[in-house]
Amino acid sequence: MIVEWVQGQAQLVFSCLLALVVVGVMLLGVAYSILAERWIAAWVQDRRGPNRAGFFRLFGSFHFWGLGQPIADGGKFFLKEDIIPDNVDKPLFILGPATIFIVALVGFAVIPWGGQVQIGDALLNVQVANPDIGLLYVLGVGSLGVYGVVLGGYASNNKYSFFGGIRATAQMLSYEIPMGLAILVVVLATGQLRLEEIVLSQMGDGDVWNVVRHPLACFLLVVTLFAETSRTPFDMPEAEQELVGGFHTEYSSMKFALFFLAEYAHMITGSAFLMVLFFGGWHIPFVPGLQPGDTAWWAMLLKMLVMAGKIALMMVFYIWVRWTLPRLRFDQLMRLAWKGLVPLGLGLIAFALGMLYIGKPQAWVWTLVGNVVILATMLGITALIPSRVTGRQYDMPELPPRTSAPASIGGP
Amino acid sequence: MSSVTVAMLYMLFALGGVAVYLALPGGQRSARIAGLIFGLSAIAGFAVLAAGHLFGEDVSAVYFCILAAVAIFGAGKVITHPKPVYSALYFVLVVLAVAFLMVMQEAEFLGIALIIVYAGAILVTYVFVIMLAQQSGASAVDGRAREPLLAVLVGFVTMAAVVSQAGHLPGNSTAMVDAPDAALARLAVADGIPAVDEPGEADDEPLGGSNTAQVGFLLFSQYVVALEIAGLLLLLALIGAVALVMKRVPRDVPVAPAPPLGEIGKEVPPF
Amino acid sequence: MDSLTPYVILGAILFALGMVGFLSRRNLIVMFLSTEVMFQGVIVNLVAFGRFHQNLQGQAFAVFLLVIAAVEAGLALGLVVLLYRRRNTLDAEAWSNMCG
Repeated sequence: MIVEWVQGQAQLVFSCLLALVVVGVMLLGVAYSILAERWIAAWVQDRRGPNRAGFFRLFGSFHFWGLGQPIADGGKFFLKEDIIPDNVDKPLFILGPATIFIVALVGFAVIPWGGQVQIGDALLNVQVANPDIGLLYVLGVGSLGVYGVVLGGYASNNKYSFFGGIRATAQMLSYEIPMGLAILVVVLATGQLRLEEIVLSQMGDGDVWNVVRHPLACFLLVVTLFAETSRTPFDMPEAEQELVGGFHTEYSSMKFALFFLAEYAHMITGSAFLMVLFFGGWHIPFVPGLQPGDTAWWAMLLKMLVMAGKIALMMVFYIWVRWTLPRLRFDQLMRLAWKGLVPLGLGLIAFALGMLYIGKPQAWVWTLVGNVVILATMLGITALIPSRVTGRQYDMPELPPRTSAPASIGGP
Repeated sequence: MSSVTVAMLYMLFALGGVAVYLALPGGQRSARIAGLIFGLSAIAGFAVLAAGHLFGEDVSAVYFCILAAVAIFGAGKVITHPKPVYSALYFVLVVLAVAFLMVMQEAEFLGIALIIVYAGAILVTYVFVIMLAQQSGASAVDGRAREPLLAVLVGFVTMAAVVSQAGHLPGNSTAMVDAPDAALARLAVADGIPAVDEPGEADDEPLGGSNTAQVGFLLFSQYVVALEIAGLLLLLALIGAVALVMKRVPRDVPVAPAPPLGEIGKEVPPF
Repeated sequence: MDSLTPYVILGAILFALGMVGFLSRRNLIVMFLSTEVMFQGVIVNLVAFGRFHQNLQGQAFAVFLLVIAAVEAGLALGLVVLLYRRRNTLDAEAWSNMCG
């Protein structure tokens, strides 16, 4: 009886198993991303990273290169005192980290991991859910991500946290627009909203990855992903030199850890999304076992490994950028979004619409030429229009002599 | 609906009205708690009534009851909560519940668009403005309501009036439950509404069968002029909002001097 | 579930609750939030009627409603910020001297 039911609901059972596996692997991946961040930071700064905490002392003084560090960190977070300050808005204070972590995790439901797999008689999708509106689902979930930061900043009842929340709101609202435009370019080129179909549209005969078709849109998406996850150079909401810790200043123990982990979970989700949209998902051209027709179980595992490897590469890129580029100032951040990325995105949309109108949305040679032309035009316009340098010392008005206590920040 | 059901429905409306009246800001704390209890019991009554009415139709009736209860509870909290930030967050709850109702009705695109546009953009802007304008939590503005009795009377009488007409809707007939498609077609013809889009016909649309493609096709064929006007309206609103806020306005009321730095934490009461 | 009545009742309840909020609250921002609740009631009704007639007109209208809501939110919040800058309060009655 149960066996028959399971056979009838093969996709459902498989999806549930896959969801369990994916969430487990992802939590582990988040923990080890943090270790990777510290290693790469140490490498960039020419010092040693964490290399002590091993699992156990099996071979004398061999430490397993510090691979036990995430587990030790997790234990430390659990054991620390969880402080909820007196002046905070308690329900929202607790809701903030919960929201941000949930939102970071549920985005994963529609990422295609490995095409289709044949188990018994059934041909199953290696994807937790494959709704009609997969791409819109990712956008919708991503747009809820700002609430965690805003709630944390507002509920803390702390000026610095508050500024972090305000900055996060403005930044994420601004960068969602170019992100939507970049995604719309892909939708126009492929004519699909299902993520699995978008992956498949990049691997047919004569097809190429979308990054070759629309490199500028890919660049746009990468930049906006950095902003949406508030990573350097866009980490204004937490900028520790100006705002102590931004929205998470008042948090401690596991609540802080949730903010911390959610940042990495967001990065992983964003990377997976980028890989699906522009880098062919689980596909590598000409490699046997990674083509849509391969439905054996080992091909599925190979595809999942390739997808994970691509995500890991993107994570390394994230971390590399963080320890290389300095932070933008807030007015520069806004100018980049509204005067740089939004016009670029609009130009790309117009171009993609033109390609659709002449009936060749996927002719990659022509889209590539068009992208070069658009880039040259944008750079030319930038070079021709003089822009004012702001923020220099000689630009600022003379400060009045300071006599009394400074006025409080943040009047109306 | 039988007359007993209708009577019970009106009693539940009365209960809900009392609940909202008690829960509106301005009353004692005990009154607010009583309002919460009354409101919850009214919603529970609705759920029981709806469950009894719809039982046996479909599993989706259960989902409908839960989502509708969440939406009504959220809406009640939006209008009665003394802190605007909480109002905004409860509204997010309403939007999520309504979006899932849309998905249940095979309007996936609209559901997800509701979440993106309302929860992702409009409500974030609201929260942003609330944070800008009210940094120290609840103020005297939210401490009391304006004419709560009259407002509740007007609102709930409107509600009852609409619902009394909803009882005569054709969807309520037993024929609907037995043979929905045939009854629908007959009713649609009887109403003088052309029965377009038979269920099988949708797949023949040029852009495939998904809900998004169908809505998009409709918007860009039948309503293309309206869509352009809507885009123009958005552009106008953008320009208008920028023009409004860019202007330097004179202050009618002088701002109270800020307290010295060391005492800010003491002056501001906890939220 | 093909019955129309529950959706209409839900729409009416949301609409009326929003109306109560708009009439009785004094905070400008909460008043606008209440109008958004009314919009939700209308959207529920539009989609339910569209499904009842088995066409997509209701959903198309709801999309336009979303546009209107976005426009309204943008302009209204701009106005609220403006009014707040002048009087330093969000109370709607601070502006009652403007009538007549």
